[in-house]
Parts: sequence; structure tokens; C-alpha cells
Amino acid sequence: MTTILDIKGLNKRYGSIQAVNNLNLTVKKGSVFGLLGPNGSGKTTTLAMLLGVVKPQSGSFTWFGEPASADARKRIGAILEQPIFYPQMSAVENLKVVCKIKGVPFSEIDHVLEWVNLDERKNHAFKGYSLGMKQRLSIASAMLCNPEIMILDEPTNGLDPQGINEIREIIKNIAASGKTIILASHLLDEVQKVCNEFAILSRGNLIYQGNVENDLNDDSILEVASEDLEALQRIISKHYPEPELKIEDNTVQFKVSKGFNLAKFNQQMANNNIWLSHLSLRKKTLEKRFLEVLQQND
Amino acid sequence: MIKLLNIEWIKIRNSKSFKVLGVIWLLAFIAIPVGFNSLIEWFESLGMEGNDLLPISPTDFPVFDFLDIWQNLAYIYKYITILLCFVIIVNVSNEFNYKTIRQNIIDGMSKREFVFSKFLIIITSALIASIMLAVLGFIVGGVFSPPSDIATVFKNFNFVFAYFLHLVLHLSYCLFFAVLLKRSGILIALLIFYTYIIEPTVTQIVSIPLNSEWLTKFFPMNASWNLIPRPVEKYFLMEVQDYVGFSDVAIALVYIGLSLGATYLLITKRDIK
Repeated sequence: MTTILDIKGLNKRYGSIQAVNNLNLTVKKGSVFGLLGPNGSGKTTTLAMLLGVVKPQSGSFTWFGEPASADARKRIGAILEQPIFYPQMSAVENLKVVCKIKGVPFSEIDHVLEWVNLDERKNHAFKGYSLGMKQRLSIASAMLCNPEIMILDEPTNGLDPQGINEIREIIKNIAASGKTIILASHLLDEVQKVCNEFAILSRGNLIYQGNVENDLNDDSILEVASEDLEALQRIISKHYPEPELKIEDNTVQFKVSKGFNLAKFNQQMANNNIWLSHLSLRKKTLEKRFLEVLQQND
Repeated sequence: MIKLLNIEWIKIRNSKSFKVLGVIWLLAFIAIPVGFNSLIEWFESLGMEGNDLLPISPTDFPVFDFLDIWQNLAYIYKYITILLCFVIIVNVSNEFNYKTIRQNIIDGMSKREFVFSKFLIIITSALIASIMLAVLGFIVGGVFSPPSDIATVFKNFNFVFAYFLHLVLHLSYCLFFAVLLKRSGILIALLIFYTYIIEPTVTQIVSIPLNSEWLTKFFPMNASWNLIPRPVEKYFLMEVQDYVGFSDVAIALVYIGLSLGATYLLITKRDIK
């Protein structure tokens, strides 16, 4: 797969704070890449450097295999932090400015506005829009040039559940169309729902890079319960001596690896006269993985 | 270049402050010669009623005669330049307040293009104002001036170019300080305070003891102001500079270059937050 973005040794310092520390990262074409990290971990600073508004102290990066330039940015659809538009201007007028900058014909405007369901309010001033509408307009704006890659920084920040859902659907649609997406977020479950790759930043350092599917399916937690928990625990340890058992919320929990046979397990218990009242396989959430990684790095 | 002008035109035609200030400026632009003429006529009518205290006739003040008209009009119009300054200050500082400069760059504008697009607004508005001055000069002169030959009509026409330079310089200062301070309110207050209080005071203090009025030419506002020297004393039989000074043009050009260079450095060296 071709590389869209290649970052080598990127550094940025603000006074005594190392906002981004020797960051190396590559993003392949077609991936939906989640950039995770607590607030202040350097996500936005990194993206701001990649988009030419913040100057790196040192290090370099290439877009589409070429050194960074204004022309490369014309092929990227990006929003940083919050939707930014001229408040007195309507959606259409605002997008005209973007069209002119990116060299896109005005005829695309109606198309993208329809796509994010803003066509009814398209001639109203931006300042009167709700936060959800503003977010949708910025996604429309980012889509305007039919970009090869989209960069979305906290696109659901401050939205109500309905708004979050709308944006999420839009992102899923974009991802389904084969576009590369970089999604920065501190909402882990958002990244888990839409991304296939992810990286974790903490205090400017890249502390983890992985694949959502592999990393989260490797270990799952099996949760079982029956009337006699102690008997259940005894039988499980007999058949599965390795994993550590934990009793929590009236269930016995233990780690199982990929491919664990639930039917066989159920039968083993039944053979021992233990009738399960609860059996559920919980995939590890990104949140757990995230907290683990952060802890290891503290 | 056309593309950048296009972008700026979309931005500015939607701006309320531009519309309001632009209309005020336009009204003032037209009202000044008309109003001045009515004032002279009024003085004249007082004289005709036999009021000997004001024995003034329009012929004593041939302000709209060719030869004089260019300097006089340009000189008066300097006083409404501040309205255009407000337009530039509001336009540029809003790009920072709304963070739209950041989005413009993210969308693919280079920082150099951004500075250039703002300079284009300056050039364009100075050009429009200068053309208006020329057109209005021909009309007003045509109406009020005694018949003159072509050479006389165009003799002091270079004050129109001086007016153009004055506008470009003044607006370039505004561009630089708007980029530096990013606050329109404070900047407008500072501009007025500096132009009307600080610089006049300092130039007085500097020029009197040193007997070196040449030094005052180098003060930033004077550099712009001096392009069109005050013609008033002429009508009281005093000697005035009634031409565009070469050194004044040179100083103005240097200041324009400095303002633009400093603006460019500020935008390219600083992070755009």
C-alpha cells in the first residue's frame, strides 16, 4: 500500500514544554487512523505542524511522498479543533472562499452541502448555526476538494448524542468510500467504532501504535456465573489452570485468547453439573488497552 | 493574483464594517468639495450683504482652480484616510480573531499568498480612491476653474500619485500593526493616539532645539503626511511646497517596503494559532 503521510523525527517545544517529541509515524493509503491521547498530549500540535500552521522545531514529513507545501494541502481536507468560518458569511459564501483556495469549481458546493444535510440553511449566516451544523459544515468544507485524505480533529467535541451519531455516520460513510482518514480524539470508543489503526500519544511521545482489530481481539474477557460461584471457580481452575480468575459483580472473569471455544466450555461445565446462568465474552475495549499503555508508560 | 483578489472580494463584500465604513467614506469623498464650495458661497453671500468683516470672494480662494485643485483635494482627502485604515484593521485583525487565517492556510493558501492578498486589497483600494480623486478633480475643476489649457490641467496631477502612495503607505502600516497586535479596538485607539498626539508632540520636541526640521520627515506618519504638503498658507501669501518632493516619495517607498517586509516576517516566522 502506498504511504500518504510519513513523519520523521518531528519536534515541537513551547517554552519548557515538549509538546511533540521525536515523532515518527506513517499512515498508509486507505486506512482510518485514530490518533489517541489525553488532552494536551500533542495531538493538535502534531496536526497543526502537518497542516503548515505551526512550525516544527526539527524533523520533517512528506505528504503523498512529496515535501510539505501549500499545494499538498490543497489535496487534504482538514479541520482542526473547532469549525472555523467567517461568522457573517453564509455557508455558500464560506465554501466559495475554500473553493477558490483549493481550485475547486463552485458547482461542488451544493453537492457537499446536500451530503451533510445543510442545503436548507445554506444561505444563512454561519454565526447562527448550531454546533452540530457547524461541525457538519466543516466536514462539508473538508470534502469539497474530494480529498485523498481527511484530517478530523475531535469532530464530535461538544455535540449532543444525536449530533455525535450524525457525525459518526458521516465519517463511516467517508471511510467506506475508501478515503484515508486521520481522526484525532480523546473519545476512545469513537476511535474504536470507526478506525482500523491507531496510535497513542502521551506528553508528546508516541507510546503505542497498533491495529484495532488485532490488538483488541487478542485477549477477551469471559464472564460466567452460576448459582454456586465457588464451585464454578473450582471447576474452571481444574480445566483452565493458566488464567487468573477474578470474582467481580457476582461473576467469575478470566482472560481467554482468540478462538476460545465457548460451546466446549459450556459443555464442560454442564458435565460437572454446573449450570451457567450467565455466559458472555467481552472484547477488550480500546479504553482498557489505552489505560494499560498509559500506565506502563508512567 | 486574480484568484487572490477574488477570495478577498468574497470576504470583504460580506463584511458589515466594510459596507458601513465604505459608504461613510464615499459620502465624505463626494461631500467635501461640494460642501467646501457651499461654504465659500456662504462667505461670499455675507460679503454681498455689505458685511465688511468678511470681505471674501471665491476668487480670493481659487481652491478648485486647476493647478491648485490636485494638491488641495488630495490634502483634504488625507483626513478621511483613517476610514480606510479602519477597514484594513478590521479586515486583517478579524482574520486572526476568527482564526480564519489558520483555516485559509490549512485549506492550501501559502503564508506568502496571504500577505500578498492583503497587500492587493491595499493596492486596489488606493487605486480606486486615486481614480476617484482624479475623476472628481476633473469634474470639480471643470465646473469651477476658469478655462485652462491641458498643460495647466495636468501640471500638478502628480499629487494624485502622491495621494496613491500616501494611501498605500498608511494602509501598509495598518496591515503590519493588525498582524502584530491582532486586536482591532486597541489598534484603532493607538493609531489615533499616535497620529494626533504622540508623533506631533515628539516631532515638535525634536525639531525645535535641533533646528532640524528635516528630521521630522522620517517619522512614520509624517512620511505619509508629507507626500501632500499643506497648501493653506498659500492663500495668505506665504510660501508653501506646491510640488511632490522627491525625498518624500523615496522615504514613503522605503516605509512601504519596511511595513510589508515586517508583515511577511511576522506571518511566516510565527505559529498561526
